[in-house]
Amino acid sequence: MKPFINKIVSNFIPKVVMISLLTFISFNGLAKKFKVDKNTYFELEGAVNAVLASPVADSAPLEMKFIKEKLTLAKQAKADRDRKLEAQYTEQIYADIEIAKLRAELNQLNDVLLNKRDQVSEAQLYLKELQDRLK
Amino acid sequence: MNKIILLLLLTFSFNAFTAKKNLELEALRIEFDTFITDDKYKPYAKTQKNKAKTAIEDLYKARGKLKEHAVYLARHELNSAKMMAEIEYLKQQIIFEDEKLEALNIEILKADAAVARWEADKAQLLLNLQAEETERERIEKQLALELASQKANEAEIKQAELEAAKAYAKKQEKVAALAKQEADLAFEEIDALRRQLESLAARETAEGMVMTLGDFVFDSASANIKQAAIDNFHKILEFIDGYPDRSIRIEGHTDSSGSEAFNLDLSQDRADAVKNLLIEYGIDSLRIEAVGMGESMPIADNNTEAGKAKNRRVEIIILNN
Repeated sequence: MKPFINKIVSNFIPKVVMISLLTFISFNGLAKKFKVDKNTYFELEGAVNAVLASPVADSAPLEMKFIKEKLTLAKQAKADRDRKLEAQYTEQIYADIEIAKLRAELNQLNDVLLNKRDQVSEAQLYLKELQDRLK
Repeated sequence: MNKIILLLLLTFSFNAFTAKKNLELEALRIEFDTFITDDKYKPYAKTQKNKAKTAIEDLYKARGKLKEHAVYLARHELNSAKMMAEIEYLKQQIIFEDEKLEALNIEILKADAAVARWEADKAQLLLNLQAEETERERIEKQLALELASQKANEAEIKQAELEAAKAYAKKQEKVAALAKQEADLAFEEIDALRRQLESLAARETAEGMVMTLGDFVFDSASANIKQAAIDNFHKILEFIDGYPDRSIRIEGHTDSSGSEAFNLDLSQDRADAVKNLLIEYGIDSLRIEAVGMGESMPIADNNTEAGKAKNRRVEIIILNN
């Protein structure tokens, strides 16, 4: 019996391990990586500052707060030379910037829409007044 | 060998563990499903929805423990899709509101124009009313002025009439005074005539008894006997009646003024006039002879007025048979 088991182990185990490893790598290990270098953080910081200096900062204050907090974490990761974490924070911050811009646009459009609806209401009221005068 | 078996067991257990969907992924999937089935956002952000779907499906396909970062990025895709859908929805709503506003503005322009027309009509009506009122007031004033002018004219006319009446009255007074004077003069003249007639005296001549009538008996340069003389002729008639059987000759004489022929005609006419008057008083015409002597037999100087007056005369002669 023991020689049989040894034969199975010696023939199949390496294959199973190999298949398992390949599967794991294909789903987890092959995920798209955001690569960072020594300038990545500074570029990120410049991007964040540009957004902070733009009207987006006023239109999406909550998003900007998260971005600033995450930038601090990215800076810390860079200082810790944790490239992986820095890359994740960098990718997230760029995504957050995109969200902040969308939020700003959304808020602006909401304001425009509200303003339009106010104009419509005023116009309807004014039209009614005119029509009442003509009765 | 034991280590290998242990490694295998660990590997299988790990894969089994990663295959299990964690709660966070489920929540993400439910949120995505809810989002894409929302009718409000169906037409919008289709590309981003696909990206979010792919990201979530990738998480499902992933084996092993889900990494926080991968979930974060998948959520980011979902949030991006939701926000883009909302943005497109808002843009569409803005377009709707713009169209509504544009339509309303057109209606307002029309209504404004209608109101403006109405206001203009109203203003025009008011202007017309004011103009009519002004015209009415003007006419009233004009009528009042005309009435006042008429009254003034009437007053003036009345005043003028009054003045004319006064003037007329004064004139009439003058006329009356003149008439009175004339009447007085006439009375005086008549009286004088009467006295003269009454004072006539006959004188006896070779031809007979002669009574001389001065020219005062006649109108000037005429053979017309004055009415007063006619009325007071009884003295002469008495004189004639004193000699009923005698013939009478009436001689007319003039002064030398004017032509001889005129004076001859005038003397004849005056003699005839006396003759006719006597006939009217009942004296027989056969007894009477009337002769015009003209200026041929003056009894006074024709160069003086007094002489001329004496020469203008009619002599009634009761002839001696």
